Amino acid sequence: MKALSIAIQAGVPTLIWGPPGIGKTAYINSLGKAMNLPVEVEIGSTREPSDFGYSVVTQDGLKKVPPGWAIRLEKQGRGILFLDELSTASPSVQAAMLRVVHERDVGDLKLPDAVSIVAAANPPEMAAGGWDLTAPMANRFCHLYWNPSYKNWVEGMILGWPEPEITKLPSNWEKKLPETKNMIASFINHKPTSLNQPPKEESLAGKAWPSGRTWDMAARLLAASFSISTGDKTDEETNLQLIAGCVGEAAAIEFLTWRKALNLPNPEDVLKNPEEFKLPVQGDIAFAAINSVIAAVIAEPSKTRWIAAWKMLRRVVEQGGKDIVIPSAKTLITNPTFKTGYNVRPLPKEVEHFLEDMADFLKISGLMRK
Amino acid sequence: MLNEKFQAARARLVHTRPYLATAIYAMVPVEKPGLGTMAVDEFWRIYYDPAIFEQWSVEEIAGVIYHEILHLVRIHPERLRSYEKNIANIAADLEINDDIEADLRSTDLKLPQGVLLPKTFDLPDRLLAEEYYELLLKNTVKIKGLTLSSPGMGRCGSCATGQSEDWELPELHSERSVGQAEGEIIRRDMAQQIVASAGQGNVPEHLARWAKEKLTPKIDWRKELASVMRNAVASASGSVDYSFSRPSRRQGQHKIGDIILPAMIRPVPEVAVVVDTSGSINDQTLAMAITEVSGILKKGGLKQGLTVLAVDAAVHSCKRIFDPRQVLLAGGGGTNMGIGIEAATKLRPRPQVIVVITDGYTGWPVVPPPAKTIIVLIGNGPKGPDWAKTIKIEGDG
Repeated sequence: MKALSIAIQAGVPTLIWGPPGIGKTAYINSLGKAMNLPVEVEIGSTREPSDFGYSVVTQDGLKKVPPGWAIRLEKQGRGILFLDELSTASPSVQAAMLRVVHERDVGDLKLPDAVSIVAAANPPEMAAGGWDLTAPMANRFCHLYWNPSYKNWVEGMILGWPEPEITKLPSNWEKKLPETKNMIASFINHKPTSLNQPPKEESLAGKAWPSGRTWDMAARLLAASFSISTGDKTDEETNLQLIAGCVGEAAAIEFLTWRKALNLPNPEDVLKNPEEFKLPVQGDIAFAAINSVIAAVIAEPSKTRWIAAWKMLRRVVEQGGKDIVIPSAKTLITNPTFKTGYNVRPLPKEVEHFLEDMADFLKISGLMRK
Repeated sequence: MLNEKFQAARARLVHTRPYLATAIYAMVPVEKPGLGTMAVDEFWRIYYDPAIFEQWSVEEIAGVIYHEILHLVRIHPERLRSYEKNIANIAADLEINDDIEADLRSTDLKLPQGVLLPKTFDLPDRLLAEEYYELLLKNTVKIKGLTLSSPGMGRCGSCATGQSEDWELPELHSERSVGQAEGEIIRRDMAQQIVASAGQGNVPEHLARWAKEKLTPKIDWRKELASVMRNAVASASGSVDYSFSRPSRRQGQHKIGDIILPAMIRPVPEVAVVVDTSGSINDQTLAMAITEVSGILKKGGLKQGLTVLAVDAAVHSCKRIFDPRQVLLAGGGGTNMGIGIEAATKLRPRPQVIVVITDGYTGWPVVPPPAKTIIVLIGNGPKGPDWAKTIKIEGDG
């Protein structure tokens, strides 16, 4: 649960979904111990609204007295507040708990910023008398799913539960925030419909969905995740969990797909210096990079660009990408603009060279008859 | 430099199935002399013994890559991780091979040495790997007689089972691994391209079906119905309030003494179920819908049973039931649910929630009834009026 420890440290309220009795509370306690943070556990289904601040008449008027756990957290100035069984608490208790999450008010006391809030819920279909969260409530959490594998459970049962491994965020992790905010802003620019999509089906209302607030949470979590990645390698699994937890899986995958495309070389630069094109090592990235150059030529066709593309393809072949160029070469030959415009006999020497280099390979692959 | 025949096979496969290109190139080739075959691990690494390419044709290599990609497309590593490895691999192969049998016949792709098919084990086509696994467990004699030596024949690597072979590389290694998140990105991209290539004649039916499901995930009607019912019941029961009918949990606490504090109570709403018995819906489907509705209510704490009205053009029976098996479905003439809804609103105590189970071919009242109304629509009939929430359920359950 690397994602959970990142969310706690980044101060984003987290909601853990999982069936009852799988050790969520025990895990949070050991997480708190490993991170050296005091943990206060409040179980929703056995509480009533006044447990989250009740009123007392004093000489100075009505005072809202915070409960003991809130006072303890305030004194220590930091910690984890764990609100268990959020979905089985009665609506009035849920409302009281959510006030704590939203406004961080408990009675007349304000929780310190360094107190992270983690809530846990059983999926309504798994709990007796469970309630769905309403869409606005669901929208204030990063939703993480808890499904420990049976193997881990068996190991923990026999060998004892391991101390959770915590990756500590560096103190300056927020330095990455402008970068991730920019990234998300340009994604929304690219696809404005992803900004706000309240769920249409009622059964999805209590889950993560994209909104301005959740994208903002996603930016924080992504910045936190970037701050602990080594070199250029980011942990895509964790990133997906965190972003999907905020904005839902569909929007998260769209965002990550878009981000992947950002790392491709700029097609215009390639077309200026096709001879210097360096084939990316990863096959799918190489394929996408070549395609983006071809797409740029088709979007804005000219004979110079067309020939530059052929030069690039020849460079790719020299670097071992014989098969990867075939779809692109086919597009360059068959696209109507080029077919009528430039594909005159004799073929330009760049095309001739390319075909000479490829002839044997095309025969082996059975794509060209002798 | 990559093996040329391997590259030629990739080119051939991309030519035949262009929408697979990203997935094909995302696979990381790892040359492994002495392996004696070709196999793929769950991290999208494709291992091959260059010597095997002397024996296999380009068409066969392309066919193997195609087969192995389908393991990854269908997320077999996640699904079969806790099953016995050898049988799981065969089960996964059967799930794929019956789908691609016709598919391979219409293209120039091949699998070496024939393939394992469900009929090899006298099993029906079109089941899931998990189902084949259960059935194969009953037929282990036949499995023992097999030599599982090649891809498509029970030896595919961890791409089929999620359980690594001893010659596979660990996830963290200098050879890149494609994790679950990236795998999902590739799969989505593939699904979009498949949908975009529809009508070009190169999308086999099983991939078209897969892509459609990938992009428009089916909403589970049971979950949806449960959510809608829960919300209706919760808001109808309303007035969750303090009452003196039960003592407070805080009673007897320090300093409270003789003061009696109120406790919370939650009134339980009255629910009526109007069932369309006009004959166009079969009894089994109706019974299933009623069972589902009463199950949801029971879970929600409704213990006093519900009233079921059997209605076609008139109300035939009206009975309070505690068990779905008590339902008597009389009727079978014309259809008018309006009459049923009206009868329901006249019940005492008056229901706050009315559930109508119908095929939709019925008249509806113009004025909404004074109760929350949920329409459970069976089949492809017309949707109910806007004042009610309609949930469509699938007939086959």
